[in-house]
Amino acid sequence: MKHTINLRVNGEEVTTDVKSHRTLLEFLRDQLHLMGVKEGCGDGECGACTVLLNGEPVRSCLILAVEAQNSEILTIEGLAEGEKLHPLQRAFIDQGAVQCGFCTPGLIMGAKALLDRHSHPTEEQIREAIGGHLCRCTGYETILQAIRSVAKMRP
Amino acid sequence: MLRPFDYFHPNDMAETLTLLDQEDETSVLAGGTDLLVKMRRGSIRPPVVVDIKGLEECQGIRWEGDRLSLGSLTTFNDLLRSQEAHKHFPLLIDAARVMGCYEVRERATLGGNVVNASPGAESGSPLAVLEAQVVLKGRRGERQMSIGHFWQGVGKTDLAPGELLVRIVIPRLPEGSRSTYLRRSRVQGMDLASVNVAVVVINPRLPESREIRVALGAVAPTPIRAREVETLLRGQEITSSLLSQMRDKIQEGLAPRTTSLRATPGYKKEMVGVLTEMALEVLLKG
Ligand SMILES: Cc1cc2nc3c(=O)[nH]c(=O)nc-3n(C[C@H](O)[C@H](O)[C@H](O)COP(=O)(O)OP(=O)(O)OC[C@H]3O[C@@H](n4cnc5c(N)ncnc54)[C@H](O)[C@@H]3O)c2cc1C
Ligand code: FES
Ligand code: FES
Repeated sequence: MKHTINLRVNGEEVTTDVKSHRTLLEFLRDQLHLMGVKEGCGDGECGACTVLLNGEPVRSCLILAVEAQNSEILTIEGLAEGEKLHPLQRAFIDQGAVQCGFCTPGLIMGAKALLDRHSHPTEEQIREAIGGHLCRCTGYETILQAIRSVAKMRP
Repeated sequence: MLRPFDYFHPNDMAETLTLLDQEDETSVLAGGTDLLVKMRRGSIRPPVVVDIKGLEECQGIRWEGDRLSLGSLTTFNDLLRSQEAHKHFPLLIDAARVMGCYEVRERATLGGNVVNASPGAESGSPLAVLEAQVVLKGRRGERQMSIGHFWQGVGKTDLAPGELLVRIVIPRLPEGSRSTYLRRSRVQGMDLASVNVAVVVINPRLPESREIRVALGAVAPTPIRAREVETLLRGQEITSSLLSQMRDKIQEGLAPRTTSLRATPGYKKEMVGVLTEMALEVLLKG
């Protein structure tokens, strides 16, 4: 079954046909070619596919593309302003929080939503926000530091 | 990849119930955090999926007289944002806090958790101990029953084909009651409970009229009330010998399945007593 959906992705209006059984993850990667959205497990466990849906982080592997009708989606591709990286992207690089990089887009989107909810999150809130994200490389400490450093820079 | 299916997103109840009545193998879609996982694994292959997120009747948290009504679409993050839940049913907050992770809680609904009927589900022992009722709707009308009757086994409920869980209602507890939820899991972080307990204490400061309610999760095919323990503790001074009797009594008749990946039956049987004791310590303090 085909559906015509209307949504905004990284600030741009998108109107397109999708099949009901396509996940939001497949739609973003295969139809919109947003390859920053990663598929790790496909089962909701790893966090690599995290995008923001109406400002809140969700697992795009467990959402149908048709469910995103009339919504606003933000992926890692929509964070930088032209050449200027988002402070979280900058901090992840500066703190060495990126190794293979597979978990990074999902983590940054989760962290962005956290900083939108709480401009000065507590350590517990930071840990809670990344609790559902697996990283097989860094050991998490540099990731925590990157997020803390952005929070600290805020007025 | 998911197998193809037809998808509907009705906005009114009558239309939804008509759709659900038409096909035998229609699946209701709420947050999708159980359903899509099962569909991906191929353990269910519904030809029709009906997304109920457009139904207003299944949304919102509000008092109906002396009962708090939670729409089946209430997400775990909605619960965490609810003043009413914090104030009146803190054990639901304890449970929501350890459920999945932020992203899962943002989508996962209470209704989905209840209908999925997993023995260790986060809402299981809390709703059992709170004596919640479920409100179901189908083409033939509405019915209500206690949540204990609704759950019939692992993944089994009394939901009839074509029926929808509309809301969950929880009777107000007497003023001054206290409650908590504790669980053990293999790792701190995202994991299902190996075992969990929910405890309510009514009249915590007046031992003579004190009532203690206990429910256990992940030790039987459905969450269960520990009625004999409740009788043992009713109106009694809590002493270490009473607690030791409680830990023996709570194990009686429990036979957790031996195939659990998370914990052995022996561990679970010991642990429900330990967790109940820990809960009482917190709830009876001060
Ligand atoms: C990564 C991950 C971690 C998880 N961690 C936990 C955890 O810690 N604790 C826990 O308890 N669970 C956990 N879960 C399981 C799941 O998230 C919960 O059970 C959740 O509450 C299901 O709700 P849902 O809205 O997503 O349900 P859905 O997947 O939409 O539906 C679940 C089932 O209920 C049916 N259904 C849903 N709503 C209704 C309704 N109103 N009327 C009739 N039928 C309905 C559906 O048809 C389906 O069969 C986890 C899942 C994932 C993917
Ligand atoms: S791919 Fe979605 S959580 Fe792993
Ligand atoms: S950097 Fe490799 S998984 Fe996180």
